[in-house]
Formats: sequence, structure tokens, C-alpha cells
Amino acid sequence: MKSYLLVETRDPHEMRDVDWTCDVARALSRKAQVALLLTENGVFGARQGCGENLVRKLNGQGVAVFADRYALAERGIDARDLSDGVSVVDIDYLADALISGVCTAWR
Amino acid sequence: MTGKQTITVALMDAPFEASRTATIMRLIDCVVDKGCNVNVFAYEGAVYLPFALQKAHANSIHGRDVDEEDHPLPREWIAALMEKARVRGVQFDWVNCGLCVDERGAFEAIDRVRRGAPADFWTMATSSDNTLVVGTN
Amino acid sequence: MKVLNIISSAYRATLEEQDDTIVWLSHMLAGAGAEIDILLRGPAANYIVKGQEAGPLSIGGRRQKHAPDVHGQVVSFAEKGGGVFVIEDDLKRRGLAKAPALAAVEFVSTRRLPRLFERYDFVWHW
Repeated sequence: MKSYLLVETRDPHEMRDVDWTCDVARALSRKAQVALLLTENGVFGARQGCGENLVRKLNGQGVAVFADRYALAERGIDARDLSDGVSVVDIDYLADALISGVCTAWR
Repeated sequence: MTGKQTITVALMDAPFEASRTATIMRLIDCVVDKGCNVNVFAYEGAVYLPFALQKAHANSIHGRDVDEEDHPLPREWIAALMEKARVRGVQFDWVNCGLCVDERGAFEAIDRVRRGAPADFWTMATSSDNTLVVGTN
Repeated sequence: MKVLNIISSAYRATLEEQDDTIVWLSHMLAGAGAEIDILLRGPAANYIVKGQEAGPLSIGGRRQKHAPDVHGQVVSFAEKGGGVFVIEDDLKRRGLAKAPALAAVEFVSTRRLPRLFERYDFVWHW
């Protein structure tokens, strides 16, 4: 099964186009293994209680959601503030995905 | 995970303007740490990332002189990554899009930066294990 | 002449510049004699939230001395007498309504912005 990693850097509360990333993730997940890595302002979509919660948008679609530890710290978002289902990772996660040949698309 | 895989990254953003410059430098640092070769194709404003004339400055708002401010410069990050790659015995190839350089007058690049063309990016991508395109917004 | 600087683009180049460039510019303009307040909206609303800790970056072994402190920049702007406004809805949308935040900040709604804008000669959205 092919693996995809989508990297989202934009705040979903600011950019409607982040919905497109979720649409693609959902569509791909029917035939492939898909993960979403939130970094930079993308991590604003991982917080509990936020309006454009990306975990909620992907709920039940089998898309694993990860958040960049550095981006979280930079914005003062504690891991305890994240929605259930978000795993905190370092930049190694992205490096390992590339090295493993995961098809990676950055927005 | 270690090996001699090769990762190619295409960049577009100019220095001192985007969050992704630092994110991508973190990524490349990590890829080099893992013993992989790295190719970078700098397109559009990214040709200014290795611009040799970038200069640190003091910062009166921070209350620091030029030494204390120690302003990080992308050209220094790139040079440090190239040196780290050399020490680790992995290849680090940085190609600036030549026409993008001409448009912007970004002629003075640090050592070991090559002038190239989109065909170089294609060659890099087809000879790499993976390629990441980091477009601009 | 009174100026309201609106800042929405956030965490952009902060690691290279070791600050937010528009908050920095607001400091500089105030130092040059401008009467400036700032309005934080969009992701920049997060600048008022306490506990932001970007560690100093190390790239290729070149270690940064000073990580950016955008919250501290805003605090310092307020301490120098600059007004700091934030769009309340932008905090709520991001789940930040109850987050520990800078005290010297005035919350405004988008609906009430016309009244705020009336106080200024210029409204500059950076």
C-alpha cells in the first residue's frame, strides 16, 4: 500500500484552503496509508476547542495526525492542550518519512 | 534509520520573510544527521538564501550590539550544513536557478553554490530517493 | 497623528529575525515619535498568550543565541505605553479564550472595529 504524508503549515482559521488538504487526506485514505503533519501555523488546527479542528475534520478516516513539537512550543501550545489523536513529533518524523520513500506533499 | 539515500528539496521563499526557511533548515540538518545526501534546488526568491552579502546587524529594540545580537543569517546556516555534510561524508549540492539569480541580481553566493537550471532539478529528482517541493504561499 | 498597526501574519521569519518584524517596526516607529497602537488578529492574536518558548535553533551546529520572544515584544510595547488590541473572536476560534494572556490588552470584536478605527488618523494593515 502506498504511503502519503501531507504537511500543513497554514492556520486553518486563516486559510480556507486547508480544507483542501483534509479533503485530499480523506480521499487518499480510501486506498493508501495517509498521515498529516502539522507544523508552523498549522498546529493551530490541533488544539482542543478550536473552531477549525483538523482532527475532527478527519475523524474516522484513518488519517494519523502529528504535530511538530518545535512549532507547538513556539506558539505556547502544551501537548495537554491538543485534541485526542494528535501525536507530538520532532522534525525527525518528516526526515524519516522522506528517507523511507513516503510520498510527501507540503502546503 | 541510516544510509546513503539522497533527498532533494526545492525551495522558493526568500530569506527573512517566511517561517518555512527555518523549518526546512531544521529538516535538512536532520537529514544530514541521518547520513543522507542532500540536494537543494533554489527557485525564485530562495536564490537569496545563500547570498554572500547578507550582513548581521545590531538591534536597538533588543538592546543588543551586533555581537550580542548574533543575528542568524541563512547563508551561515547553509555554509554550516555544507560543512556538517562534508564532515559526515555525505554530499550536499545546492543549485540556484540561474535565471532567478539574473532577475534578482543575486550573483554573489557563498562558496559551493552552483548556478543551474530547472533541468538540474529534474536530474536531482530522478537520481534521488525522494523529493520534497516546498512551494511559496 | 495616531496610527493603528494591524498585524495578522504571525511567526513569519521570527527565527531568522529573532522577533516579529511588524511588532519590531511598531517599536521603531514609536521610538521615532509616532503615536502607535497595535491590533493583533488572525494567528497573531496568539502573541498575547503566555508560555511561548521557541528554543534557540541549532542549524549545522551554528547555535542561535537568542530565540524569538514575540510575546515579550508585545509586553514591552505595552509597557512603553503602546496600546494593544486583540480580536476576541480570533482567540475564541483558536480555543484561546481562556488561555493565560497579557493583562494590558483590550479585547475587541470585529463588529466594534469602526468605533476603534475612528480614534486613528491612519489604519495600516501590514
